[in-house]
Amino acid sequence: MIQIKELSKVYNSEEGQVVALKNVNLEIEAGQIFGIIGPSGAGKSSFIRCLNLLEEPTEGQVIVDGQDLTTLNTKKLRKARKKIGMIFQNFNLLQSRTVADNVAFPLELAGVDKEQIRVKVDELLELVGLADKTNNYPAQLSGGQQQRVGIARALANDPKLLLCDEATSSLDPQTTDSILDLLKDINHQLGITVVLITHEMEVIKQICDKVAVLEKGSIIEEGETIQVFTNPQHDTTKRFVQSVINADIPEEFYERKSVIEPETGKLIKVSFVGKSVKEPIISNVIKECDVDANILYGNIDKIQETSFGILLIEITGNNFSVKQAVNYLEEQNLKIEVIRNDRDVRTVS
Amino acid sequence: MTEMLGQLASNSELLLQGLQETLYMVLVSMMIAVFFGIPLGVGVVVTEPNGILEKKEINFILGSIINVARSIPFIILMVAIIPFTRLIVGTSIGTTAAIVPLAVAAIPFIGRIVENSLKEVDPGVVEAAQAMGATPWEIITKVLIPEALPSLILGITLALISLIGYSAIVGAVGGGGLGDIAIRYGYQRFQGDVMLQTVVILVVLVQLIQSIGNWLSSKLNKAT
Repeated sequence: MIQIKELSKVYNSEEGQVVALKNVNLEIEAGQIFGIIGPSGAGKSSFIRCLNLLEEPTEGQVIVDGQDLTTLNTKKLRKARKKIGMIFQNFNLLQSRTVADNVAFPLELAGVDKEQIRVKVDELLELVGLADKTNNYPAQLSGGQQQRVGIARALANDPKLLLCDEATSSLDPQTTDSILDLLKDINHQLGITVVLITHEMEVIKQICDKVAVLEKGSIIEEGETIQVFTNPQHDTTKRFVQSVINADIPEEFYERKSVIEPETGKLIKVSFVGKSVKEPIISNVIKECDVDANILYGNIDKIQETSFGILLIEITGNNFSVKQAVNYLEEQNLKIEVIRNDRDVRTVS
Repeated sequence: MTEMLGQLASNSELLLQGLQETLYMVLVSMMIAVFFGIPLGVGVVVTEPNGILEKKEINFILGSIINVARSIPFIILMVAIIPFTRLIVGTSIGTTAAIVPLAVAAIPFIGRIVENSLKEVDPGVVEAAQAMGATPWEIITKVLIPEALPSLILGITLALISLIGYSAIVGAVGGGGLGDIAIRYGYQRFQGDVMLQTVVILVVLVQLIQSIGNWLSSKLNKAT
Protein backbone atom coordinates (compact mmCIF):
# COMPACT_ATOMS: atom_id res chain seq x y z
CA MET A 1 0.00 0.00 0.00
CA ILE A 2 2.71 2.46 1.00
CA GLN A 3 6.40 2.28 0.27
CA ILE A 4 8.65 4.91 1.69
CA LYS A 5 12.13 4.93 0.29
CA GLU A 6 15.08 6.92 1.56
CA LEU A 7 12.78 9.65 2.82
CA SER A 8 14.49 12.74 4.21
CA LYS A 9 13.11 16.07 5.26
CA VAL A 10 15.31 19.04 6.06
CA TYR A 11 13.98 22.43 7.09
CA ASN A 12 16.02 25.51 6.38
CA SER A 13 15.57 28.05 9.08
CA GLU A 14 17.47 31.16 10.02
CA GLU A 15 19.33 29.25 12.71
CA GLY A 16 20.47 26.71 10.15
CA GLN A 17 19.26 23.37 8.90
CA VAL A 18 16.97 21.19 10.93
CA VAL A 19 16.86 17.55 9.95
CA ALA A 20 13.38 16.24 10.69
CA LEU A 21 13.65 12.89 8.93
CA LYS A 22 16.68 11.05 7.63
CA ASN A 23 16.70 8.06 5.33
CA VAL A 24 13.43 6.58 6.45
CA ASN A 25 12.51 3.33 4.74
CA LEU A 26 9.19 1.76 5.53
CA GLU A 27 6.64 -0.50 3.99
CA ILE A 28 3.02 -0.46 5.08
CA GLU A 29 0.76 -3.22 3.91
CA ALA A 30 -2.81 -2.67 2.78
CA GLY A 31 -5.47 -3.22 5.43
CA GLN A 32 -3.15 -2.69 8.36
CA ILE A 33 -3.33 -0.24 11.20
CA PHE A 34 0.22 1.01 11.35
CA GLY A 35 1.38 3.14 14.25
CA ILE A 36 4.37 5.41 14.45
CA ILE A 37 5.34 6.37 17.94
CA GLY A 38 8.05 8.67 19.11
CA PRO A 39 8.85 11.35 21.64
CA SER A 40 7.98 14.92 20.70
CA GLY A 41 10.38 16.37 18.17
CA ALA A 42 11.12 12.93 16.71
CA GLY A 43 9.73 13.90 13.32
CA LYS A 44 6.33 12.20 13.55
CA SER A 45 4.42 15.20 12.33
CA SER A 46 6.76 15.72 9.36
CA PHE A 47 6.54 12.04 8.59
CA ILE A 48 2.76 11.86 8.35
CA ARG A 49 2.65 15.07 6.30
CA CYS A 50 5.10 13.57 3.84
CA LEU A 51 2.61 10.78 3.19
CA ASN A 52 0.22 13.17 1.43
CA LEU A 53 2.91 15.69 0.58
CA LEU A 54 1.56 18.45 2.81
CA GLU A 55 5.27 18.59 3.49
CA GLU A 56 7.42 18.09 0.46
CA PRO A 57 10.19 15.55 1.13
CA THR A 58 13.71 16.89 0.65
CA GLU A 59 14.72 13.51 -0.71
CA GLY A 60 13.19 10.10 -1.30
CA GLN A 61 10.06 8.55 -2.63
CA VAL A 62 6.58 8.18 -1.20
CA ILE A 63 4.68 5.55 -3.12
CA VAL A 64 1.02 5.28 -2.22
CA ASP A 65 -1.05 2.64 -3.96
CA GLY A 66 1.55 2.24 -6.69
CA GLN A 67 1.86 5.96 -7.38
CA ASP A 68 4.99 7.91 -6.50
CA LEU A 69 3.51 11.11 -5.06
CA THR A 70 6.79 13.01 -5.29
CA THR A 71 6.70 12.88 -9.10
CA LEU A 72 3.14 14.21 -9.51
CA ASN A 73 2.32 17.74 -10.67
CA THR A 74 0.05 19.89 -8.48
CA LYS A 75 -3.11 18.90 -10.31
CA LYS A 76 -2.45 15.17 -10.11
CA LEU A 77 -1.34 15.51 -6.51
CA ARG A 78 -4.64 17.18 -5.60
CA LYS A 79 -6.45 14.30 -7.24
CA ALA A 80 -4.36 11.75 -5.36
CA ARG A 81 -5.02 13.56 -2.07
CA LYS A 82 -8.76 13.13 -2.55
CA LYS A 83 -8.18 9.42 -2.01
CA ILE A 84 -6.16 9.92 1.16
CA GLY A 85 -8.24 10.90 4.19
CA MET A 86 -6.68 12.74 7.09
CA ILE A 87 -7.76 13.55 10.64
CA PHE A 88 -6.06 15.94 13.03
CA GLN A 89 -5.32 16.49 16.69
CA ASN A 90 -7.36 19.69 16.72
CA PHE A 91 -10.04 18.30 14.37
CA ASN A 92 -9.69 21.29 12.01
CA LEU A 93 -13.37 21.55 11.18
CA LEU A 94 -14.86 24.56 9.43
CA GLN A 95 -16.52 26.55 12.20
CA SER A 96 -18.85 28.32 9.78
CA ARG A 97 -20.34 25.11 8.45
CA THR A 98 -22.75 22.66 10.06
CA VAL A 99 -21.72 19.08 10.77
CA ALA A 100 -23.39 17.91 7.55
CA ASP A 101 -21.78 20.67 5.49
CA ASN A 102 -18.36 19.85 6.93
CA VAL A 103 -18.72 16.24 5.83
CA ALA A 104 -20.04 17.45 2.47
CA PHE A 105 -17.01 19.69 1.93
CA PRO A 106 -14.62 17.15 0.36
CA LEU A 107 -17.49 15.90 -1.81
CA GLU A 108 -18.12 19.45 -3.05
CA LEU A 109 -14.44 19.72 -3.88
CA ALA A 110 -14.68 16.48 -5.82
CA GLY A 111 -17.64 17.83 -7.80
CA VAL A 112 -20.23 15.34 -6.57
CA ASP A 113 -23.81 16.44 -7.26
CA LYS A 114 -26.04 17.70 -4.46
CA GLU A 115 -28.39 14.76 -4.16
CA GLN A 116 -25.54 12.25 -3.99
CA ILE A 117 -23.78 14.41 -1.41
CA ARG A 118 -26.87 14.36 0.79
CA VAL A 119 -27.13 10.58 0.65
CA LYS A 120 -23.43 10.08 1.30
CA VAL A 121 -23.36 12.55 4.20
CA ASP A 122 -26.28 10.80 5.91
CA GLU A 123 -24.56 7.47 5.46
CA LEU A 124 -21.27 8.74 6.93
CA LEU A 125 -22.88 10.46 9.90
CA GLU A 126 -24.75 7.25 10.61
CA LEU A 127 -21.44 5.36 10.51
CA VAL A 128 -19.76 7.63 13.05
CA GLY A 129 -22.86 7.81 15.24
CA LEU A 130 -23.74 11.46 14.76
CA ALA A 131 -26.93 11.19 12.73
CA ASP A 132 -28.69 13.40 15.28
CA LYS A 133 -26.14 16.23 15.04
CA THR A 134 -26.51 16.94 11.31
CA ASN A 135 -27.45 20.59 11.69
CA ASN A 136 -25.28 21.48 14.68
CA TYR A 137 -22.17 23.58 14.37
CA PRO A 138 -18.78 22.20 15.47
CA ALA A 139 -18.61 24.63 18.41
CA GLN A 140 -21.71 22.95 19.85
CA LEU A 141 -20.05 19.53 19.95
CA SER A 142 -17.67 17.86 22.38
CA GLY A 143 -14.10 17.03 21.36
CA GLY A 144 -14.94 13.39 20.72
CA GLN A 145 -17.93 14.33 18.60
CA GLN A 146 -15.84 16.80 16.62
CA GLN A 147 -13.29 14.10 15.90
CA ARG A 148 -16.13 11.87 14.69
CA VAL A 149 -17.11 14.59 12.25
CA GLY A 150 -13.44 14.73 11.22
CA ILE A 151 -13.47 11.00 10.59
CA ALA A 152 -16.70 11.16 8.59
CA ARG A 153 -15.22 13.99 6.53
CA ALA A 154 -11.99 12.05 5.95
CA LEU A 155 -13.98 9.05 4.70
CA ALA A 156 -16.23 11.01 2.34
CA ASN A 157 -14.34 10.31 -0.85
CA ASP A 158 -13.94 6.59 -0.06
CA PRO A 159 -10.20 6.77 0.57
CA LYS A 160 -7.99 3.70 0.68
CA LEU A 161 -5.76 5.30 3.24
CA LEU A 162 -6.53 7.23 6.41
CA LEU A 163 -3.82 9.32 8.05
CA CYS A 164 -4.28 10.15 11.73
CA ASP A 165 -2.21 13.01 13.10
CA GLU A 166 -2.28 12.60 16.90
CA ALA A 167 -6.01 12.10 16.50
CA THR A 168 -6.69 11.30 20.14
CA SER A 169 -4.05 13.43 21.85
CA SER A 170 -6.43 16.18 22.88
CA LEU A 171 -9.14 13.82 24.11
CA ASP A 172 -9.74 12.34 27.54
CA PRO A 173 -8.99 8.61 28.03
CA GLN A 174 -12.59 7.48 27.74
CA THR A 175 -13.21 9.44 24.55
CA THR A 176 -9.87 8.24 23.21
CA ASP A 177 -11.08 4.65 23.62
CA SER A 178 -14.28 5.30 21.73
CA ILE A 179 -12.45 7.03 18.87
CA LEU A 180 -9.92 4.18 18.69
CA ASP A 181 -12.76 1.67 18.57
CA LEU A 182 -14.29 3.62 15.72
CA LEU A 183 -11.00 3.64 13.80
CA LYS A 184 -10.68 -0.08 14.33
CA ASP A 185 -14.22 -0.66 13.09
CA ILE A 186 -13.53 1.42 10.02
CA ASN A 187 -10.37 -0.55 9.35
CA HIS A 188 -12.25 -3.84 9.68
CA GLN A 189 -15.47 -2.91 7.92
CA LEU A 190 -14.14 -0.82 5.07
CA GLY A 191 -10.69 -2.33 4.77
CA ILE A 192 -9.05 1.08 4.88
CA THR A 193 -5.36 1.16 5.70
CA VAL A 194 -4.77 3.39 8.72
CA VAL A 195 -1.49 5.13 9.48
CA LEU A 196 -1.33 6.97 12.76
CA ILE A 197 1.26 8.91 14.65
CA THR A 198 1.07 9.23 18.40
CA HIS A 199 3.16 9.73 21.49
CA GLU A 200 0.84 7.51 23.52
CA MET A 201 1.83 3.85 23.69
CA GLU A 202 -1.71 3.08 24.82
CA VAL A 203 -2.97 3.95 21.33
CA ILE A 204 -0.47 1.57 19.74
CA LYS A 205 -1.41 -1.14 22.21
CA GLN A 206 -5.10 -0.83 21.57
CA ILE A 207 -5.33 -0.79 17.80
CA CYS A 208 -2.07 -1.09 15.88
CA ASP A 209 -1.11 -4.25 14.03
CA LYS A 210 2.40 -2.99 13.47
CA VAL A 211 4.44 -0.26 15.03
CA ALA A 212 7.54 1.71 14.18
CA VAL A 213 9.45 3.73 16.73
CA LEU A 214 10.76 7.03 15.49
CA GLU A 215 13.55 8.85 17.25
CA LYS A 216 15.52 11.86 16.03
CA GLY A 217 14.21 11.41 12.50
CA SER A 218 15.07 7.74 12.15
CA ILE A 219 13.15 4.54 12.67
CA ILE A 220 14.94 2.70 15.44
CA GLU A 221 12.64 -0.26 15.79
CA GLU A 222 9.80 -1.77 13.82
CA GLY A 223 7.67 -4.86 14.00
CA GLU A 224 4.40 -6.52 14.95
CA THR A 225 2.93 -4.73 17.94
CA ILE A 226 2.90 -7.87 20.08
CA GLN A 227 6.57 -8.50 19.35
CA VAL A 228 7.64 -4.98 20.09
CA PHE A 229 5.69 -5.08 23.33
CA THR A 230 6.98 -8.42 24.54
CA ASN A 231 10.52 -8.03 23.34
CA PRO A 232 11.50 -4.38 22.95
CA GLN A 233 15.10 -3.91 21.81
CA HIS A 234 15.86 -0.25 22.02
CA ASP A 235 15.91 1.78 25.23
CA THR A 236 13.37 4.29 23.93
CA THR A 237 11.06 1.45 22.97
CA LYS A 238 11.47 -0.12 26.40
CA ARG A 239 10.50 3.15 28.03
CA PHE A 240 7.42 3.41 25.85
CA VAL A 241 6.43 -0.18 26.63
CA GLN A 242 6.92 0.40 30.33
CA SER A 243 4.67 3.42 30.18
CA VAL A 244 1.70 1.13 29.63
CA ILE A 245 2.81 -2.31 30.72
CA ASN A 246 4.97 -3.08 33.68
CA ALA A 247 6.69 -6.37 32.90
CA ASP A 248 9.15 -6.00 35.73
CA ILE A 249 8.93 -7.74 39.03
CA PRO A 250 8.82 -5.40 41.98
CA GLU A 251 12.18 -5.25 43.80
CA GLU A 252 10.89 -6.54 47.10
CA PHE A 253 10.36 -10.04 45.68
CA TYR A 254 14.05 -10.49 44.97
CA GLU A 255 14.79 -10.21 48.64
CA ARG A 256 11.87 -12.20 49.85
CA LYS A 257 12.72 -15.25 51.91
CA SER A 258 11.05 -18.44 51.02
CA VAL A 259 8.27 -19.17 53.43
CA ILE A 260 8.53 -22.89 53.24
CA GLU A 261 11.52 -25.11 52.57
CA PRO A 262 14.05 -22.43 51.75
CA GLU A 263 16.63 -25.05 50.81
CA THR A 264 14.81 -26.36 47.80
CA GLY A 265 12.42 -23.59 46.77
CA LYS A 266 12.89 -21.78 43.50
CA LEU A 267 11.60 -18.42 42.53
CA ILE A 268 10.64 -18.54 38.89
CA LYS A 269 9.57 -15.84 36.49
CA VAL A 270 7.32 -17.18 33.77
CA SER A 271 6.70 -14.98 30.72
CA PHE A 272 4.02 -15.99 28.32
CA VAL A 273 2.47 -14.79 25.11
CA GLY A 274 -0.62 -15.91 23.31
CA LYS A 275 -2.48 -19.14 23.60
CA SER A 276 -0.57 -20.74 26.46
CA VAL A 277 -2.35 -18.27 28.69
CA LYS A 278 -5.51 -20.27 28.30
CA GLU A 279 -4.02 -23.54 29.60
CA PRO A 280 -4.04 -24.35 33.32
CA ILE A 281 -0.24 -24.48 33.53
CA ILE A 282 0.13 -23.94 37.23
CA SER A 283 -2.31 -26.58 38.28
CA ASN A 284 -0.73 -28.96 35.77
CA VAL A 285 2.68 -28.42 37.33
CA ILE A 286 1.33 -29.18 40.76
CA LYS A 287 -0.33 -32.36 39.58
CA GLU A 288 2.44 -33.64 37.35
CA CYS A 289 5.47 -32.92 39.46
CA ASP A 290 4.38 -33.21 43.06
CA VAL A 291 5.38 -29.71 44.03
CA ASP A 292 3.63 -26.77 45.62
CA ALA A 293 3.34 -23.55 43.69
CA ASN A 294 2.82 -20.26 45.35
CA ILE A 295 1.89 -17.35 43.10
CA LEU A 296 3.63 -14.25 44.40
CA TYR A 297 3.00 -11.74 41.68
CA GLY A 298 1.31 -11.62 38.32
CA ASN A 299 0.68 -9.18 35.55
CA ILE A 300 -1.36 -10.14 32.53
CA ASP A 301 -2.23 -7.76 29.77
CA LYS A 302 -3.83 -7.91 26.41
CA ILE A 303 -2.67 -6.42 23.15
CA GLN A 304 -5.79 -6.52 21.08
CA GLU A 305 -6.55 -10.27 20.85
CA THR A 306 -3.29 -11.57 22.30
CA SER A 307 -2.71 -11.96 26.01
CA PHE A 308 0.72 -11.76 27.47
CA GLY A 309 2.27 -11.22 30.82
CA ILE A 310 4.47 -12.45 33.61
CA LEU A 311 3.92 -14.60 36.61
CA LEU A 312 6.24 -14.93 39.58
CA ILE A 313 5.89 -18.28 41.26
CA GLU A 314 7.67 -19.99 44.05
CA ILE A 315 7.94 -23.70 43.60
CA THR A 316 8.66 -25.82 46.59
CA GLY A 317 9.15 -29.55 47.02
CA ASN A 318 12.05 -31.92 47.08
CA ASN A 319 15.05 -31.19 44.89
CA PHE A 320 14.10 -33.65 42.22
CA SER A 321 10.51 -32.62 41.79
CA VAL A 322 11.42 -28.93 41.68
CA LYS A 323 13.84 -29.63 38.81
CA GLN A 324 11.17 -31.68 37.13
CA ALA A 325 8.72 -28.81 37.48
CA VAL A 326 11.12 -26.37 35.88
CA ASN A 327 11.64 -28.77 32.98
CA TYR A 328 7.92 -29.18 32.61
CA LEU A 329 7.39 -25.44 32.36
CA GLU A 330 10.16 -25.11 29.80
CA GLU A 331 8.49 -27.76 27.67
CA GLN A 332 5.34 -25.65 27.53
CA ASN A 333 7.12 -23.10 25.32
CA LEU A 334 7.21 -20.59 28.11
CA LYS A 335 10.05 -18.26 28.81
CA ILE A 336 11.38 -19.34 32.18
CA GLU A 337 13.79 -17.44 34.31
CA VAL A 338 14.96 -18.79 37.62
CA ILE A 339 15.31 -15.69 39.67
CA ARG A 340 16.67 -17.19 42.83
CA ASN A 341 18.52 -20.45 42.71
CA ASP A 342 19.87 -22.57 45.51
CA ARG A 343 22.98 -20.46 45.94
CA ASP A 344 20.90 -17.36 46.54
CA VAL A 345 18.70 -19.23 48.92
CA ARG A 346 21.72 -20.12 51.01
CA THR A 347 22.83 -16.53 51.17
CA VAL A 348 19.39 -15.43 52.15
CA SER A 349 18.91 -18.07 54.82
CA MET B 1 -37.86 70.25 22.79
CA THR B 2 -40.77 71.47 20.67
CA GLU B 3 -38.63 74.41 19.63
CA MET B 4 -35.92 72.02 18.49
CA LEU B 5 -38.40 69.92 16.56
CA GLY B 6 -39.69 73.09 14.91
CA GLN B 7 -36.21 74.03 13.81
CA LEU B 8 -35.63 70.52 12.58
CA ALA B 9 -38.77 70.75 10.44
CA SER B 10 -37.67 74.05 8.91
CA ASN B 11 -34.27 72.64 8.07
CA SER B 12 -35.54 69.21 7.12
CA GLU B 13 -35.28 69.59 3.39
CA LEU B 14 -31.70 70.74 3.63
CA LEU B 15 -30.72 68.01 6.08
CA LEU B 16 -32.46 65.27 4.10
CA GLN B 17 -30.57 66.24 1.01
CA GLY B 18 -27.32 66.25 2.97
CA LEU B 19 -28.06 62.81 4.39
CA GLN B 20 -28.80 61.47 0.94
CA GLU B 21 -25.55 62.86 -0.43
CA THR B 22 -23.57 61.44 2.49
CA LEU B 23 -25.13 58.00 2.09
CA TYR B 24 -24.57 58.10 -1.65
CA MET B 25 -20.87 59.01 -1.29
CA VAL B 26 -20.18 56.57 1.50
CA LEU B 27 -22.07 53.59 0.13
CA VAL B 28 -20.80 53.84 -3.44
CA SER B 29 -17.19 54.38 -2.38
CA MET B 30 -17.58 51.50 0.08
CA MET B 31 -18.75 49.16 -2.67
CA ILE B 32 -15.79 50.14 -4.80
CA ALA B 33 -13.44 49.74 -1.86
CA VAL B 34 -14.78 46.28 -1.02
CA PHE B 35 -14.50 45.26 -4.67
CA PHE B 36 -10.81 46.16 -4.82
CA GLY B 37 -9.89 45.84 -1.15
CA ILE B 38 -10.88 42.18 -0.76
CA PRO B 39 -8.57 40.95 -3.54
CA LEU B 40 -5.84 43.20 -2.13
CA GLY B 41 -6.15 41.77 1.39
CA VAL B 42 -6.53 38.19 0.14
CA GLY B 43 -3.50 38.72 -2.09
CA VAL B 44 -1.34 39.80 0.82
CA VAL B 45 -2.39 36.84 2.95
CA VAL B 46 -1.97 34.09 0.35
CA THR B 47 1.39 35.30 -0.92
CA GLU B 48 3.04 35.68 2.44
CA PRO B 49 5.70 33.15 3.56
CA ASN B 50 4.08 29.72 4.08
CA GLY B 51 0.89 31.02 2.48
CA ILE B 52 -1.04 28.90 0.01
CA LEU B 53 0.46 30.82 -2.94
CA GLU B 54 3.71 31.97 -1.40
CA LYS B 55 5.28 34.69 -3.55
CA LYS B 56 7.69 37.06 -1.84
CA GLU B 57 7.80 39.81 -4.48
CA ILE B 58 4.03 40.11 -4.90
CA ASN B 59 3.60 40.06 -1.14
CA PHE B 60 6.07 42.93 -0.81
CA ILE B 61 4.38 45.00 -3.51
CA LEU B 62 0.85 44.51 -2.15
CA GLY B 63 2.01 45.14 1.41
CA SER B 64 3.72 48.36 0.32
CA ILE B 65 0.62 49.59 -1.51
CA ILE B 66 -1.39 49.21 1.67
CA ASN B 67 1.22 50.83 3.89
CA VAL B 68 1.94 53.80 1.64
CA ALA B 69 -1.70 54.57 0.90
CA ARG B 70 -2.62 54.20 4.57
CA SER B 71 0.06 56.63 5.67
CA ILE B 72 -1.04 59.55 3.49
CA PRO B 73 -3.42 61.87 5.40
CA PHE B 74 -6.80 61.84 3.70
CA ILE B 75 -6.98 65.56 3.03
CA ILE B 76 -3.65 65.44 1.18
CA LEU B 77 -4.59 62.31 -0.74
CA MET B 78 -7.82 63.99 -1.82
CA VAL B 79 -6.02 66.96 -3.29
CA ALA B 80 -3.16 64.92 -4.72
CA ILE B 81 -5.41 62.71 -6.80
CA ILE B 82 -7.49 65.51 -8.32
CA PRO B 83 -6.09 64.82 -11.83
CA PHE B 84 -7.06 61.17 -11.45
CA THR B 85 -10.52 62.14 -10.23
CA ARG B 86 -10.96 64.43 -13.21
CA LEU B 87 -9.88 61.63 -15.53
CA ILE B 88 -12.52 59.30 -14.14
CA VAL B 89 -15.56 61.52 -13.47
CA GLY B 90 -14.66 64.47 -15.68
CA THR B 91 -14.71 66.92 -12.80
CA SER B 92 -13.12 67.24 -9.41
CA ILE B 93 -16.04 69.03 -7.77
CA GLY B 94 -19.35 67.61 -6.55
CA THR B 95 -20.68 64.60 -4.76
CA THR B 96 -19.86 62.07 -7.47
CA ALA B 97 -16.33 63.39 -7.78
CA ALA B 98 -15.94 62.96 -4.00
CA ILE B 99 -16.47 59.24 -4.37
CA VAL B 100 -13.08 58.81 -6.07
CA PRO B 101 -10.83 59.98 -3.20
CA LEU B 102 -13.09 58.27 -0.67
CA ALA B 103 -12.80 54.95 -2.52
CA VAL B 104 -9.06 55.35 -3.03
CA ALA B 105 -8.57 55.95 0.67
CA ALA B 106 -10.86 53.09 1.65
CA ILE B 107 -9.31 50.41 -0.60
CA PRO B 108 -6.08 49.96 1.43
CA PHE B 109 -8.10 50.31 4.63
CA ILE B 110 -10.34 47.42 3.59
CA GLY B 111 -7.26 45.58 2.34
CA ARG B 112 -5.69 45.71 5.79
CA ILE B 113 -8.96 44.72 7.48
CA VAL B 114 -9.32 41.72 5.16
CA GLU B 115 -5.69 40.78 5.78
CA ASN B 116 -6.13 40.86 9.56
CA SER B 117 -9.39 38.93 9.45
CA LEU B 118 -8.05 36.19 7.21
CA LYS B 119 -4.95 35.79 9.37
CA GLU B 120 -7.23 34.90 12.26
CA VAL B 121 -8.46 31.79 10.43
CA ASP B 122 -7.02 28.64 12.00
CA PRO B 123 -4.14 27.44 9.78
CA GLY B 124 -5.15 23.88 10.63
CA VAL B 125 -8.41 24.32 8.73
CA VAL B 126 -6.48 25.47 5.68
CA GLU B 127 -4.19 22.48 6.04
CA ALA B 128 -7.21 20.17 6.23
CA ALA B 129 -8.56 21.66 3.00
CA GLN B 130 -5.18 21.17 1.33
CA ALA B 131 -5.15 17.56 2.49
CA MET B 132 -8.54 17.14 0.79
CA GLY B 133 -7.11 18.35 -2.48
CA ALA B 134 -8.65 21.83 -2.51
CA THR B 135 -7.24 24.35 -5.02
CA PRO B 136 -5.99 27.73 -3.77
CA TRP B 137 -9.13 29.35 -5.22
CA GLU B 138 -11.33 26.87 -3.36
CA ILE B 139 -9.41 27.54 -0.16
CA ILE B 140 -9.96 31.29 -0.55
CA THR B 141 -13.64 31.13 -1.45
CA LYS B 142 -14.75 28.14 0.59
CA VAL B 143 -12.48 28.29 3.62
CA LEU B 144 -10.74 31.62 4.26
CA ILE B 145 -13.56 34.05 3.47
CA PRO B 146 -16.47 32.08 4.98
CA GLU B 147 -14.46 31.33 8.13
CA ALA B 148 -13.42 34.99 8.48
CA LEU B 149 -16.85 36.41 7.63
CA PRO B 150 -17.97 37.49 11.12
CA SER B 151 -14.68 39.32 11.60
CA LEU B 152 -14.83 40.77 8.07
CA ILE B 153 -18.28 42.20 8.76
CA LEU B 154 -17.03 43.95 11.89
CA GLY B 155 -14.07 45.31 9.96
CA ILE B 156 -16.22 46.61 7.15
CA THR B 157 -18.50 48.23 9.72
CA LEU B 158 -15.49 50.01 11.15
CA ALA B 159 -14.41 51.13 7.67
CA LEU B 160 -17.90 52.38 6.88
CA ILE B 161 -17.91 54.56 9.99
CA SER B 162 -14.47 55.95 9.17
CA LEU B 163 -15.73 56.74 5.67
CA ILE B 164 -18.56 58.81 7.14
CA GLY B 165 -15.89 60.83 8.89
CA TYR B 166 -13.91 61.23 5.67
CA SER B 167 -17.07 62.24 3.81
CA ALA B 168 -17.33 65.31 6.08
CA ILE B 169 -13.88 66.33 4.89
CA VAL B 170 -14.77 66.04 1.21
CA GLY B 171 -17.81 68.15 2.04
CA ALA B 172 -15.47 70.97 2.89
CA VAL B 173 -14.14 71.06 -0.67
CA GLY B 174 -17.39 70.93 -2.53
CA GLY B 175 -18.42 67.33 -2.11
CA GLY B 176 -21.76 68.03 -0.47
CA GLY B 177 -23.25 65.91 2.27
CA LEU B 178 -23.94 66.47 5.95
CA GLY B 179 -20.40 67.59 6.69
CA ASP B 180 -20.69 70.30 4.08
CA ILE B 181 -23.96 71.53 5.60
CA ALA B 182 -22.47 71.58 9.06
CA ILE B 183 -19.58 73.74 7.91
CA ARG B 184 -21.42 76.09 5.58
CA TYR B 185 -24.55 76.67 7.65
CA GLY B 186 -23.49 75.76 11.13
CA TYR B 187 -19.98 77.19 11.20
CA GLN B 188 -19.76 79.92 8.59
CA ARG B 189 -23.30 81.28 9.06
CA PHE B 190 -23.40 80.74 12.81
CA GLN B 191 -26.53 78.57 12.61
CA GLY B 192 -25.94 76.56 15.76
CA ASP B 193 -29.17 74.63 15.32
CA VAL B 194 -28.09 73.26 11.93
CA MET B 195 -24.73 72.26 13.37
CA LEU B 196 -26.41 70.45 16.25
CA GLN B 197 -28.87 68.70 14.00
CA THR B 198 -26.21 67.39 11.60
CA VAL B 199 -24.19 66.08 14.52
CA VAL B 200 -27.26 64.32 15.93
CA ILE B 201 -28.00 62.76 12.55
CA LEU B 202 -24.40 61.60 12.20
CA VAL B 203 -24.37 60.10 15.69
CA VAL B 204 -27.60 58.23 15.00
CA LEU B 205 -26.27 57.06 11.62
CA VAL B 206 -23.02 55.75 13.12
CA GLN B 207 -24.89 54.07 15.95
CA LEU B 208 -27.24 52.42 13.49
CA ILE B 209 -24.43 51.12 11.27
CA GLN B 210 -22.49 49.77 14.24
CA SER B 211 -25.56 48.01 15.62
CA ILE B 212 -26.38 46.42 12.29
CA GLY B 213 -22.74 45.34 11.87
CA ASN B 214 -22.60 43.82 15.36
CA TRP B 215 -25.88 42.03 14.89
CA LEU B 216 -24.92 40.60 11.51
CA SER B 217 -21.49 39.54 12.70
CA SER B 218 -22.76 37.72 15.75
CA LYS B 219 -25.52 36.10 13.73
CA LEU B 220 -22.92 34.71 11.34
CA ASN B 221 -20.48 33.72 14.06
CA LYS B 222 -20.89 30.00 14.69
CA ALA B 223 -17.56 29.55 16.39
CA THR B 224 -18.76 30.24 19.90
